[in-house]
Amino acid sequence: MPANKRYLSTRAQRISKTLAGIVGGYFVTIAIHLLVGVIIGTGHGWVQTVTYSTFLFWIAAMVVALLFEKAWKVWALYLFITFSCAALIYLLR
Amino acid sequence: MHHTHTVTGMMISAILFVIFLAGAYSLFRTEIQEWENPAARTAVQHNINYDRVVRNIDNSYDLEPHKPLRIFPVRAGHPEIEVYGETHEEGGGHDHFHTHINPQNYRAQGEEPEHETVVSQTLFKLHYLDQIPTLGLYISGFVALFFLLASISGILIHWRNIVQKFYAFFVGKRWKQIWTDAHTVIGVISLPFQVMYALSGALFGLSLLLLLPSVMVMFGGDQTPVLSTIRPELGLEISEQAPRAEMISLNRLQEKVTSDYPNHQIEEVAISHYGYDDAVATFYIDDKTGLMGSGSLSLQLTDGQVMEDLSRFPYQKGYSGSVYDLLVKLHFASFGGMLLKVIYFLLALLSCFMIISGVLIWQVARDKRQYSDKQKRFHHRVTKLNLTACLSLFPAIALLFIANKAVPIDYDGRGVLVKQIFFLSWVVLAAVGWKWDSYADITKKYFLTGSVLSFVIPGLNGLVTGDWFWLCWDMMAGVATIDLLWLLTGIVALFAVSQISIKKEEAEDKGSISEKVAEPAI
Repeated sequence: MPANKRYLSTRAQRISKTLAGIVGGYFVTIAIHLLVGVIIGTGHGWVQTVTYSTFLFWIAAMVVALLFEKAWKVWALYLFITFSCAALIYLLR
Repeated sequence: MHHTHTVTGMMISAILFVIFLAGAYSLFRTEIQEWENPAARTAVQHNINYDRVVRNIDNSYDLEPHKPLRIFPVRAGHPEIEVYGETHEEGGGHDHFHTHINPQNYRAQGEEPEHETVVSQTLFKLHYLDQIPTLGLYISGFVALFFLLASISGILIHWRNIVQKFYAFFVGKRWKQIWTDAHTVIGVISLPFQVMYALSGALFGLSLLLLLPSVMVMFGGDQTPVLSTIRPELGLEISEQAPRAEMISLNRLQEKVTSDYPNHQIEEVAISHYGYDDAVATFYIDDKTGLMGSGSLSLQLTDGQVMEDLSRFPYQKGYSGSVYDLLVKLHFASFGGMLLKVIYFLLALLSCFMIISGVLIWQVARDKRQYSDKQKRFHHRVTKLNLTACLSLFPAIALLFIANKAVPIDYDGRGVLVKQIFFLSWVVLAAVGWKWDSYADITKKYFLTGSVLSFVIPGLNGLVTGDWFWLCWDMMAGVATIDLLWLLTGIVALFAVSQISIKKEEAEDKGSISEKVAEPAI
């Protein structure tokens, strides 16, 4: 059923949030998984886990992105997580 | 969340329907292969002379010795041995080859099988949209991913009253209520099934997207560590300096594997560095009955020793050796025999019905005064597009099976012709359906066409090949299964058609309740 207009943010905000969830969510997912890989080691167990956990994580990131009110906050949060993970990976390796 | 669920659902609806329906038939891929190809109907020959296969391949091709050779023995649905490998090219390069080998005279006959049959292949490829060049696999992967999003947001909408929804039966209510209840009840019942498919489907479609970053960042662009997780023998380090060595007989190794695992069948034999000191043969085996029943055994070709650290013994695999295999088994339903496949098939059709009911909820919920006529026309068109494109696939698949028997088996280029018949008939049927205006009418006419065509299939099979399903039940169970499947489909679809007209007179409404009764069983 169509959602009540009251609970929807503006169109531009929604599109931006969705994009943040899909694109930003992808980078957040990969960055966190790589970080875990750096810490616990990239054995077969890690690769096998990645095959399913990434998709669940990615979806969670999409859903979380939609729960925010302002799109820029999502972008900021996801960029922050991605870059801090990237920095940690760089330092740890 | 409502909005997310609606938007993702409507975006993927028709494609997801096609994927589920084509996938439902692909569950019976082996049986369809037996049905479509007369050569596959003869009893499977189990004793294959692997040494002779390797010898003949070595004689026919200029093999690249450092590259692996993969041999697929004769199996149900595959009457010929198949070999994949790489040849040596002038100037150091190498080229892939694929050949079929006749199990009687062991002659390599090139890439094309003796008779080209395309029914199972077309449906299987349609399942991951392979007919769309390059992008098809990724589109299907993303559809699976958003299917996961739709499932999860669906749970988030309904989790509070998920137990009551399980018992919500849907009779004598308004149309919107009927569609909504049908959608949620079936959604709850088949939820584990659908989440499993969304996850494994996304993995098969988008593995590149997933693995590329790990390969680039973690392994410096070398994909071997990732691939060897799934196929352990790919992680073998081959030394080009290894001396030539005497190989022991592959047939002896095969006998050893068969006596150690008498209930397993050999799916594939992968040979690396044949003829050298570090040569290894890896036997991929599967018993098709347990979730952990698949595995691989790697044996040294110099002394026949089993390599413990490289092998994955069935039922003794650790976590790191079984996740992917488990996902494969769950996705392809290769662990519980025919009964499981039938359950999977019915659940897949339930999912198809869920997609259609979701679209109808969307349309009915917007059939109100606050929407302008222009908007309503748009909703009507989208719904009709979904119905015509999706439901016309049912008679088109039936026509694909008919075309397999109607086009003579010796006709050159029959593969292309059969595929053309299938896709053209799908387009034509969908276009014709656009002329019919009420949803009930569309459903009824497609079901009627599909039902009539379904009855033709077992009859035509009997006439052309002489293997009537009551005669070949013992010898060719696969063939009889497919015939009976279509016979039942025809009966159920015909029943559905009769129900639609009754309900229409009673309710004078768009849509059809009987589809709910019919769809699960087709």
